[in-house]
Amino acid sequence: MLKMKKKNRRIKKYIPFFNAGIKEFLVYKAQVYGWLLIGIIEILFLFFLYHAIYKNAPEGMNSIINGFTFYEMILYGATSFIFANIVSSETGWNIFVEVRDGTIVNTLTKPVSYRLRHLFTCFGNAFFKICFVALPLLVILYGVFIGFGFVSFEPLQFILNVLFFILFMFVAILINDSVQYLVGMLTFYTQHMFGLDMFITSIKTFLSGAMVPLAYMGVFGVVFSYLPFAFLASTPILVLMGKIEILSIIMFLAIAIGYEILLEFINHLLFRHCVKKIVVQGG
Amino acid sequence: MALIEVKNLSKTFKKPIRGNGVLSMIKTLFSRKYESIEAVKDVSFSIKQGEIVGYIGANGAGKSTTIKMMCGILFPTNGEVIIDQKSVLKYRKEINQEIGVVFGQKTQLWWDIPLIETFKILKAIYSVSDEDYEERFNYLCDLLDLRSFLNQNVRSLSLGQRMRADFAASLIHNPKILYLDEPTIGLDVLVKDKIRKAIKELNHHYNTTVILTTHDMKDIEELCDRIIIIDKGSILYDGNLEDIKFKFGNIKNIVFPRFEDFDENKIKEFNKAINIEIDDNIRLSFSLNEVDLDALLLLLISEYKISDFKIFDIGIEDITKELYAKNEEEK
Repeated sequence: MLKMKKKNRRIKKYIPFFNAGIKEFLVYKAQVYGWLLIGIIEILFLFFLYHAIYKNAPEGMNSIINGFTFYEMILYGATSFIFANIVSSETGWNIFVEVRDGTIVNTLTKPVSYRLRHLFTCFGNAFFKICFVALPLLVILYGVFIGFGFVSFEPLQFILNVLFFILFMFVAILINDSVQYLVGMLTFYTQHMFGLDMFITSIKTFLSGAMVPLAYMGVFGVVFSYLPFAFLASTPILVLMGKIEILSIIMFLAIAIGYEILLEFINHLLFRHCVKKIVVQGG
Repeated sequence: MALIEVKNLSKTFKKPIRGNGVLSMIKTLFSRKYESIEAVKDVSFSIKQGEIVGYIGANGAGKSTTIKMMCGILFPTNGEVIIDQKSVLKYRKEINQEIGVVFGQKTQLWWDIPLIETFKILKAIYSVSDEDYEERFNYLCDLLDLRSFLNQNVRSLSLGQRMRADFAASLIHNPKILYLDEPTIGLDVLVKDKIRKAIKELNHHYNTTVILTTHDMKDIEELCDRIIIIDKGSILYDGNLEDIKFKFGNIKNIVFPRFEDFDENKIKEFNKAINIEIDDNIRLSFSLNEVDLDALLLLLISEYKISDFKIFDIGIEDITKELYAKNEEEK
């Protein structure tokens, strides 16, 4: 009982950071509108691109390329865009700003874990994005595709897929935030973020299957599907679309959790080393 | 028993050597040389519960580095800091519960939300009970006059308001120790005065131990019984403020407005031990052991017809200047 109370109090400490994550997102409303606009342009681009590809395929618009029909490809692209927004995290940039302007001293003098502080801010941010941006968009998207019969639909199977998708989404948020935290830690050494962020974003976009499904990459795609980046787009989306069998889903989930534990362990070691590198000059 | 023990604390920073010009900058891409800078050298002292200690020194003397090592933010190259018999590095999170910190140049307030929200956040972070929070929140609001801007966003506060709020934020959990790193920097006289009064009051009310770094000697003279003077990473003096003033020979200053036909030779003829500085005012400084104050005043009034003048003791600023100069000479 006493242990439970202590645990509750420990978690309660981080609620303000969760709330701050929500507020942080609300402050920058223009970000949401900008993102929606980019999304519409990107989906239109995908539509015309895949339309051209499928039209010229041997069986025309009814072709199945690498296991995807034309509509499935569009659905994959749109889901990937929304999913990337859900799992995105500002942790790396937040750490970099704290390191650059020295405000990290204020965080380190508080009786809270540096890692959990950033994780809860990320959760707050994600919570807002899921509830007010991603969920309505996904409901509309799947409603339209299922309603018009663009994709096959089996109610029980779909509910199961949604449940697994939620699990994968949670793990994806954790993995992406861990990667971002790792990048943030590296700024202790580099003192720069822009280049690192560009590097990691391009790797993530390519290896996660966010741009093109990994199935399009042949044998490399199979290898990439076992890397941690695949859990940031490809695997969760394929789960939602019912493209992965139940046993494989469980295996991928176990692998994703394993990667998350490994990343957190690396981050823990890295943080212990990084705090020794802190230099805050000029007061 | 000492609340804080600083034992043989040293900190060496590694700094890359960069040459001038584009060519040298390109060279640093391929090979980089480093130099070591000893910011703090073998510093030791201890502080008792309830003391207010002024930690002073010139820019780059090592004040803030020491404070940051005492908070557990910076890792010392050598030595250790013990608070309440616990090593700061080993028990950082636990000790953070017992300390409050104000870095004058870095706010701990949440920038985009109303000030009152920051206090609520800190209440949760430090697990402060509702009763304790109410008591301290009201006390700090009254002491620092915060009520009029509690609902304003932090980014819209003036520097003086922000500093008072920062100060209150560092105390909401009633810490045993309060580190103040240049808390009055850039503030006007009225706000400085308010902060000084609050520090005194807090020390009296909660027996809070205060360690203060500042460049404003009035902070030190008004608040601290004990000062530690640091220069180039080493302690020059650690002791009572009155003692050091006494050690510096009971020095007095007389200041009066400058006038055209002032002849400093007459003063020199009267006593060579009088030091004369002339800017907008004329300042005579001397030791009472060497100069007869009554005779000097008589001379000033009769010869120069001076009617408007001030007499005051040597300030801590002059003492530190002398100490630095002495230290340089010894080297």
